[in-house]
Amino acid sequence: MKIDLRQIMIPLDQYPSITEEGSLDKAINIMTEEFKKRDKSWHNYEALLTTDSSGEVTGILTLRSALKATRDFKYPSLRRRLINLLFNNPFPTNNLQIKTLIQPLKSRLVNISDEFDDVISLVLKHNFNIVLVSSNKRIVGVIRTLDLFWYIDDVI
Amino acid sequence: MVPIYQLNNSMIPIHYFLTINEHDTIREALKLMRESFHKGSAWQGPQMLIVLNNLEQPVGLLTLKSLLRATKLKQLVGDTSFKSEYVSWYYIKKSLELGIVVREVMRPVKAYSINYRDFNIHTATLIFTRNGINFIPIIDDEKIIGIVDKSSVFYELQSSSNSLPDRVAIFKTLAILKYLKNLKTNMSILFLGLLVRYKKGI
Repeated sequence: MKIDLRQIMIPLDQYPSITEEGSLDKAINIMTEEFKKRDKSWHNYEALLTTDSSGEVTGILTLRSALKATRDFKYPSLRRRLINLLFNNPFPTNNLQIKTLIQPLKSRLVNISDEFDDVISLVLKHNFNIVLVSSNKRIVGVIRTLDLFWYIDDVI
Repeated sequence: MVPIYQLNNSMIPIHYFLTINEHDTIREALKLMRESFHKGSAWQGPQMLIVLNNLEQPVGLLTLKSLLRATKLKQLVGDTSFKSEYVSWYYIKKSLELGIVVREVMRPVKAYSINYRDFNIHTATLIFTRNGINFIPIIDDEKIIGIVDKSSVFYELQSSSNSLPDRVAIFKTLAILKYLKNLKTNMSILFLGLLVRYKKGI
């Protein structure tokens, strides 16, 4: 039985997004608020979609990218520490724009008519937690590893 | 020195997770994973199982991705190019007929782990970002005592703006600056001495 990706995906309007011109601080606040709201269990939304001024999806800010950026800020290299000390902290996170951290869409795209197995292959090949579903060259939804789990029974 | 306050906040104790034997089948694991999701409150339970050997010792982690990997084994059997490698094909076909067992797809504990005494949030962050994993087992005396997950480490990192590591970092920077200043002074004295000797023609 063919599994329709429409059944699995979360529609685009139900997934949190942020403008790519926004700051990393704002994105982190949205992510940590989600974390607190969900009883400190971050199962559902481990990433934010980023949009341009016209509302088109341009990329994805994953928890991993945010973690890396936060680590670089909290545990800066010696060079950055010296610059911060000498020039009164020129690298604050609120100046860091999201668009410098987002992951490109291309490698994460599956077509809505693709097979369920193709999605699993993509997830395993690149070790993704989230892939995006496109239809007629537009992003229409998001599939997380958790969403795939419910259908594994049918393919094992 | 172990920064206990960090570890206690981000580590989930081992007893919170459901366990499965390494020789159990994937179908049994799927059933148990569904139970795990509802542990505590609905849909908020852990997305991971602890794999035990016959001696009841933890030997691996079974994550959602491990379960996805099991579906790929089935695809391999139907793959014509794989059929030419008869021995591997025969082995996988046989294990599919008997049911794929957990130990074939689990992530061994030894693959990525942190010793309790060496734990710090910086190391954990490095492992998460470099290896693309979501859970790290914390080991003490060769036994798993808990699991840290990526999201709790991120939250911990966020809420530790005035934490010890930052202050330590500042002190380290100040110590380096002091060292550089001393070095500069010593070099100045040395060059001054050489200059005086040169002028005197010694």
